[in-house]
Amino acid sequence: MFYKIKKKIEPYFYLSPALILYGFFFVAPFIYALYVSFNDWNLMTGEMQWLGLENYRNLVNDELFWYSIRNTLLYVVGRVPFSVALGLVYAILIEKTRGAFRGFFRFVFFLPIVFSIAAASLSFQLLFAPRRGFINQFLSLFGIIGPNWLNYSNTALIAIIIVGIWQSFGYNVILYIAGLKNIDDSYYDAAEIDGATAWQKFRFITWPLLTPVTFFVFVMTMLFSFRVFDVVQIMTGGGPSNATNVISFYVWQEAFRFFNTGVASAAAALLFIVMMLLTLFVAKKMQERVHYQ
Amino acid sequence: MIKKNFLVIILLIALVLTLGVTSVQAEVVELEFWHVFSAEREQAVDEKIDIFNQEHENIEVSHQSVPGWYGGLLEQLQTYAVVGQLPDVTLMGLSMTNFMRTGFNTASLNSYIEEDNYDLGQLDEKMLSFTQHEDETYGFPYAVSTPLLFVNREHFDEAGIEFTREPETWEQVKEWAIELNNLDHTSGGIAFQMDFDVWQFQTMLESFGGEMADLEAQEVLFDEEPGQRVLQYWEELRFEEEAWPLMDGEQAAEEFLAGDLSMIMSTTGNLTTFERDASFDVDAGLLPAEDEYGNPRSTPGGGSGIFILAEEDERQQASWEFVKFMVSETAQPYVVEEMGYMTPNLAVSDPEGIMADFFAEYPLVELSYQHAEEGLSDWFNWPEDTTNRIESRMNDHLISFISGEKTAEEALEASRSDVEAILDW
Repeated sequence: MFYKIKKKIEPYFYLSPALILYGFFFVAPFIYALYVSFNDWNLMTGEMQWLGLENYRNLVNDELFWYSIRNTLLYVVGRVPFSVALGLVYAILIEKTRGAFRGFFRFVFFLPIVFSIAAASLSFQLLFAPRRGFINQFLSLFGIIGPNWLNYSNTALIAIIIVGIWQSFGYNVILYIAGLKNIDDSYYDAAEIDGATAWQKFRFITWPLLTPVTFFVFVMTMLFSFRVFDVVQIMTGGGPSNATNVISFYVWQEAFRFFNTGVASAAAALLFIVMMLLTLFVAKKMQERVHYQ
Repeated sequence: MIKKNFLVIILLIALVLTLGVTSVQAEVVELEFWHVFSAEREQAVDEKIDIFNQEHENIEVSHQSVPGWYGGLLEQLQTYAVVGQLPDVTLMGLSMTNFMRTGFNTASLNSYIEEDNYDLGQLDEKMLSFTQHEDETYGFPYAVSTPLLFVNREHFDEAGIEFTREPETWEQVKEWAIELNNLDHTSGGIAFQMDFDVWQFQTMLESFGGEMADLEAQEVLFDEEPGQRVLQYWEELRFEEEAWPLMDGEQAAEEFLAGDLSMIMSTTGNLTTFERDASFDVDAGLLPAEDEYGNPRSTPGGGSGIFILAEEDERQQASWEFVKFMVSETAQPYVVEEMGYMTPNLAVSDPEGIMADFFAEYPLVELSYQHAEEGLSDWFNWPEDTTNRIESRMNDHLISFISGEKTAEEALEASRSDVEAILDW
């Protein structure tokens, strides 16, 4: 009897350090934020006044909230497919490369992961500069007059998406390389004997066997994309005219710029629920297509 | 026995000395000061604080530079207020002085001024009024600025335009911008730094005879005829004449310094930086004397004030000593020399006073004081903690207009509507 109980409890005992930290740093603040979302919290005096659903009502009536949702969705749609696809393509190309370049490319593509995002954002700001920026100077070689990327509403979000793709695809490359290494060579040998083309090998061996990695990469990139904040804050400050005001920025702005913690907490709670539902939906849909060896 | 007694005596002496040192240390009041200056400017602040600390045995001031300028500083103050860890002394933008008083309960300096017989006459009266409310002084102005028109003299010479430091009308400036824009190697004739705040809009609005709002009557006024004329003026420069290229404030300053942009309306805070860093002949002018209807120029005082947040008597007293020092003849010269701002201290701003050499070397600096002498106006303070939100929303709409996404009418209407919603007017 004692042995049975011990066996049941033991795993939780081992998990407890992580669970305590998780509870302390995530669950408790989340529950508190949820509580704040039903209140008007005056940060200066510390007074809290119960408002019920008032903050949520204000939130759904705020045009800027919906605009930030729209921007976030555009950002996710623009960033995720490209960083996943580029990650896959580059991983395959690197794996096909022989010699010293292989290590070099792995190193180069991993750089964005270790690079400070603040420094990278400032560097990209210079790259996107209207007259002396590298991107517009490069475009001018082909007779194209590049826009003032960060100051036009219709190009600012594109610029932010480009930085996002740069930021995440290196990480995806590494994950895909790990995935590629896990595929047994015997599948390719058999396909070779059957006379399969390179495309057929990719289509019927590589792609299906990489679906677990693709699933993971897709979900992680999507979650990272929903949470984008630092690049926006540094490069555009949510502008011009809120063109890059994404939901995380909106939450921060309401809380720490406008001191509207109730609405900010309500927006954060909604963001959490939306992200959770979306992740569950994507996970369910993708699981149906995931193949394991 | 003697040896034992000797040891006891030694121990007692050590104890007395230790306690003595501890009690001396306990008397030192440690103050924290927050500001917004970084790099060389922070270094200058650091040097002055060192002097203060050396001069005051019982006060030790440490400082922290908060990123994000006054907006960032306000955010940090708000955040630290929650956990009761506000600094003892802080700087804050002059558009937030009301909120410092009502939101942060900054200490009134009146009792200290009286006790010390502190002569307020050593500070510029108008600048001082920015940090006063009714009969109370809630802080001192620290570094003040006004907008100036910076120009690339070489472009003017090339275009054959005779530059005057005292342009007569805004039309004259527009004509210059259009002519300068015709130089084929420049990116534009003029730029306004619109994205930082609504300071430049307020400057133009008041120079065109308008007002931001009537707080008592709870009425928005910036969208009336003068406001419409400001946007009409900008529309002509931006879209009809294409003399004002689309760029943000920082880009505009960079383009100007690189010699690509001919004119920029910017803060006096950039005076020394522009003069030092530009590879061409930089000049600056006052804002035009009047608009087409004869309305005189308005120059809202930007910059910052210094405020005491400490609550305990002892800390407040020490903070008062520090605040006095920061606006004194010892500390203020670096505000002019290293930061390029105007000083409220009359002894420092006297061109023939202690800074005579500097004024002789940088004659343009006197221009900003000319604005000040004619009368600064208040940087508009919206009620309570709404300034950030209102300025942010107004800026969004004004930038939409400048980037061609909204008409002038739409931008003003949307701004008015947002302000009314935020203030519940």
